[in-house]
Amino acid sequence: MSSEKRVGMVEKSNNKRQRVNQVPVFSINDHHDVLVEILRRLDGSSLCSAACVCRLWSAVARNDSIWEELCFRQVSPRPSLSLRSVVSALGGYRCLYFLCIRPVLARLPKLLWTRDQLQLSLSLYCVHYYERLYVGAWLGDAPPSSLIFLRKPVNVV
Amino acid sequence: MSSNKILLTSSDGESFEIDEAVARKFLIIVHMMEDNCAGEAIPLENVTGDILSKIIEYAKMHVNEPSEEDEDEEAKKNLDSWDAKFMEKLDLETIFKIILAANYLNFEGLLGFASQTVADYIKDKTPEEVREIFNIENDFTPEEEEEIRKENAWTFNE
Repeated sequence: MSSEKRVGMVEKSNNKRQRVNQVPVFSINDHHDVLVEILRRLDGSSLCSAACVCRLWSAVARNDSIWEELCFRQVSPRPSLSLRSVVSALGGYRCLYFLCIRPVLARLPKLLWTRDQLQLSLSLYCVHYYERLYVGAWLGDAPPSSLIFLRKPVNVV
Repeated sequence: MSSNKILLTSSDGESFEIDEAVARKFLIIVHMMEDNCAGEAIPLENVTGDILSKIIEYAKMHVNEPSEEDEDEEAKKNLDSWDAKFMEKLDLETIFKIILAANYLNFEGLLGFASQTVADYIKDKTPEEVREIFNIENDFTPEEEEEIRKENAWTFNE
């Protein structure tokens, strides 16, 4: 598609009208493939920011394969693909990242993320899942997640 | 046989003659050659001349891609430095067009590099700054935006 000058009226969702500039503009939102390629290469905090940009970006940022790639980016060798079905059953990579990895990286930004850390996160994720499933069902009310310790410093003295 | 020339034609009629080895970086062309278009001009309908010339420039530099085990640190550093200078000169719109074209041509190396360049550009930026850069409208309602921000808050102290 060649870039042409266009004048158009764009209707915002809250009904204000805005004149589009009379300048050839490449709109990234018209190119879903490009957007995915770029978001795939962001780090966690930037990806969280990107999810707040607009509805399309928010939807694309929910793509679990992007989070899967983020989880494995610095892990070598790559875990086997069968892991994917397990993580999906537990709630997906995005959930894993938000629950188990993000709190840690937010508090320890220089932490080297390796296979061991990933394994530990996966174990914690399982704990969280079964806690919700069994303990929650038993108590009739979801208890606070054991994983709360990831967000708050724990005094182990 | 090994220094075959391939003729590529852009969507706006510009022609580029390049070595087969360079053309083989574009997997779409490899497939076309396997399907018997070799020897004729290959039309690339989705790529304009200006973008194609940049892509070919990059492909020529990378035609002998050093392998992972390659010991030549000096050569790698020089190539990285060339790559950085190549991107520096380009504005964002051109980089986007390159990403689109590299995607169409199935030129993995440049697609990855250009995408990473844009990703680095928006790294650590706030949503407002990102919208500014890409001229994107905020189409969330205030309630949606509040919810999305809470959901995606990176730290719990900020």
